[in-house]
Amino acid sequence: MSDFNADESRWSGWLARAQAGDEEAYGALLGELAPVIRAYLTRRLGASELIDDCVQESLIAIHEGRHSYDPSRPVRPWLFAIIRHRAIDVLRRQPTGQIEAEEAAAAETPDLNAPLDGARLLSGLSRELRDALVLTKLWGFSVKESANRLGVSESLVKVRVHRGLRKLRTRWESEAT
Amino acid sequence: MNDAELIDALKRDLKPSRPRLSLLLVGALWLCSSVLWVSGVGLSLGPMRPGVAESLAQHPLFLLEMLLGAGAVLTLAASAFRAAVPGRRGRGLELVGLGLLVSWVGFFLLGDVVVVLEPSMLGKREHCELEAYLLGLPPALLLLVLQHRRYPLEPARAALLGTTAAALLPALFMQLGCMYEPSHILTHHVAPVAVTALVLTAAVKLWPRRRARV
Repeated sequence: MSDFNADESRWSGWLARAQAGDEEAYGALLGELAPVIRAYLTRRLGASELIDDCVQESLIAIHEGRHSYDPSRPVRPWLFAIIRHRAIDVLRRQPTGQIEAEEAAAAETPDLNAPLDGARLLSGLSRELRDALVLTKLWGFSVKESANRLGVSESLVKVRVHRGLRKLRTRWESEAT
Repeated sequence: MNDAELIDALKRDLKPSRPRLSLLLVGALWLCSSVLWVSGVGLSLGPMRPGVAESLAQHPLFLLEMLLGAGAVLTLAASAFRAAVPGRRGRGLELVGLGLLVSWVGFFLLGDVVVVLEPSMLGKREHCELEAYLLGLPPALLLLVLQHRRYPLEPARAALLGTTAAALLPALFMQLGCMYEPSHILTHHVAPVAVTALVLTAAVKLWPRRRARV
């Protein structure tokens, strides 16, 4: 049996037992899923402090929605739909402007032209959308600061962030899990 | 809190969950009960339009229009139930449902060009608009409750699909039970579909979502 099938049947079995109230199976499932989710998100979004939030939010979402899993169906589509949705949610909720303008001006700004190592989904976006998303959501610059760095208006940055998140969700949903 | 602490907290919060009926069965039960409700209460409030059976048999466009409406209800309701479970959402089905709905409404928008039935006041119900709202509300609320018992990742989208399907049922009933005139249909039968769906979707969007306490 391949790893894929073995994981599938093990996770499905644990989740079914967790639905019946088996704490041991539940702990085993979540313990195994945490690093899987972290690796999955890092491959798609790149290494970021946000990944830890996404992993924990995903575990909580799995907990909230565990009753909705149908043990007669494959577990992966259910699982990764929750993870994708929660990760996009975390990105969307991520406040901009964590870095003050003066601090940002003094800070060493990473090179926007550098390839986003491992961030496959972000790399697939157009440069305009990706830059707006990376500056505001991953690196924590304010909209104003991001607009200055990109040489565009603040409203255009907001539009690009919104479009970027929407495209990210669409691409992610259409990709096979 | 690190991952291990979170997992421990989630384990402590674990409670057995009751087995759920299959989505197909729940959807079928919802559809049957809603159709029974709309037709039963609708007929108790007033009769069908005289000659409606002949209209269906003798006017293929009217039959097609009814089939498009019924198809829209089925596909939108199926999409709504699927959208309530992670990983089951089908964009294709949603698009088909939307296409059927647009085609159905198209018959009334183009009523002057495409004459399905000769417009007439025959069978007019005095309070058809109010009936459309009242008949559509219980199926829509029931569907929202059934969705809420699953785990819709996008509650507003799921609600919009479901409430549209539910509110379409009385609109379809009025095609058989009220006068046939395209502008009347748009303002008195179709408009309540849009209003019901938008108001209930907005309510779902504003409704605070329960989060697990860890």
